[in-house]
Amino acid sequence: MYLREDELGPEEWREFQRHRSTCAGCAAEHRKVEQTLNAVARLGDRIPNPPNPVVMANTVVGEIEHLKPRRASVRARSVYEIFVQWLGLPRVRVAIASVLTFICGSFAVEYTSGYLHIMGLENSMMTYSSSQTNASAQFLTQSDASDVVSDLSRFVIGKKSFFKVSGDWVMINKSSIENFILLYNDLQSVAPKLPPEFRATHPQLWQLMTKKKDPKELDALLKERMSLIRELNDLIPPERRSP
Amino acid sequence: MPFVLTEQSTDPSIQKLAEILDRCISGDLLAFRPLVEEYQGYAFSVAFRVLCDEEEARDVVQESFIRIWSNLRRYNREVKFTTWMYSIVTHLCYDKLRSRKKRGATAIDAVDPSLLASVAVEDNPERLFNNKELAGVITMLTEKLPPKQKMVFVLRDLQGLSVREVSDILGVSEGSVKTNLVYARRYLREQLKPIISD
Repeated sequence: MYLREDELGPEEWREFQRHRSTCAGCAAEHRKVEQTLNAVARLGDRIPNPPNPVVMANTVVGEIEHLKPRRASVRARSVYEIFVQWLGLPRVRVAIASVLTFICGSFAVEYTSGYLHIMGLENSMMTYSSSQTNASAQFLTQSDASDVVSDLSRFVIGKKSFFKVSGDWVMINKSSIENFILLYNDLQSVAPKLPPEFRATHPQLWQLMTKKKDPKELDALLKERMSLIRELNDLIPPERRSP
Repeated sequence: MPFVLTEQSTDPSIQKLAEILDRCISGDLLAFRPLVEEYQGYAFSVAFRVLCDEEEARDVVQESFIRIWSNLRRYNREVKFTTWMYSIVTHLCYDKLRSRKKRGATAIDAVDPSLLASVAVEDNPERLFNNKELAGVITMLTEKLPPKQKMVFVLRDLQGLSVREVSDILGVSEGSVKTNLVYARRYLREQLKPIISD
C-alpha cells in the first residue's frame, strides 16, 4: 500500500494489483496515497535558493586555507614515535606492568620458594622412569604420587622433611626430587625386605617397588649400593624392619 | 548529475571530474573551487529538506565540502560522487537533528492543530498542495518524523533517489530503507487524512 511499483518486486506488485482489483477500500486508499506522495514530491521544489556558488566556494576554500597551516604543522611521525606514543597510553602501560609483574613473580616463586608442585615431581619421575626402564611409571596420577610420598616419608623419619601438604596440593622440595627418585628406585631393591603387612596395606606401592626386577640385576644393584641400602634400612623404624 | 569514476569511464564529464579530483588530491585547492560551485546546490537541497532551516543547511554544506576535501583520498571511485557527497551531508544533518533533539528544540517547534484546521479541505490534492499553508504543515509533519525516517523520506520522496542509492548513502539495507519509508508515508498519510478528503 505504501510502497510503489519500483519499490516492490514484480511478484509482490502483481499480487498487490490483484488484491486492489477486488478490494475497493484498498484501491481508494492506494489512490489517495499515490496522490499525496505525488503532491508531496512537488513540495520538494519549494526550497530557498541555494547559496551563491561563488560565495560558497570562496567560504569553503577560505576555511580550508585556514585549516591548512595547522594540519601542515603536524609533520609525519616515524614508526618509532608512533610506537613510543602507543607505549605511553595508560591502558598499554598497565598491561605491560601486569605482564612484567607476572613474569618476575613467576621467576621469584620458582627460584626462592624451593617447592615445586607435585606435577613437577610426577613429570620428573616419568622422565626418569622412562629413561631407566622404557616403561611409564604407574604412579603418575597425583593421588598415586601423593600416596607414594606419604608412604616413603615414613622411612625418612629424623631427616629434614622433603614434602609438605598445602591445602589440597602436595608440595615437594625441589632439591629433594633427585634424591627422592633415587630413594624410590633403591626402595625397589629393598622391597623384599619390607614387612609382610606392608604388602597388604600398600599393594600398589608394593607392586611398583617390585615391578620388573630381574633377580640377577637386583643382586648386582644391591652389591653396588649396599651402603645406601644399609642407610635406608636404618631409616626404617625398628618395628617395621624385616626380621 | 551522478558520476561513477571508474577507469573505464569514457564520458567526458566523468573524465573531467576524475581529473579535478586527482588535482585536488595532489593539493591543488584551486581545482576544488569548480567542484564546490557545481555540487553545492545538490548538497544544499538535501540539507535544507532534512533540516528545514536555511542557515543550518548552509553550515552543513560548508562543513560537508571541508570534509570532502579532507577525505578525498578515501573516496572510492566505484561509488557515485554524489552518493558519497550525500552520505557526508546526511551524516552531518543527522548530527544536527540529534543535537536538536537533545536540546529539545526543533526548527519548527510543534504542529499547531489550528494550522491543520485552517487548511481548506480539498477533493483535489493537486490543487491542495499549491496551498502555501499546507506546505508549512507538511514541513512540520516531516519535522516530527524520527531522524532516520526523515532521511529516507527526504532522499527518496523529495530528492527522488532510488532505494538502492538511499541505502548506499545511509549505509543501511534496502529492506531497512523500505521499512522506514512505509512508516514515514503512513504517518504523513494519517496526519493528512483530515485535509485530503476521501
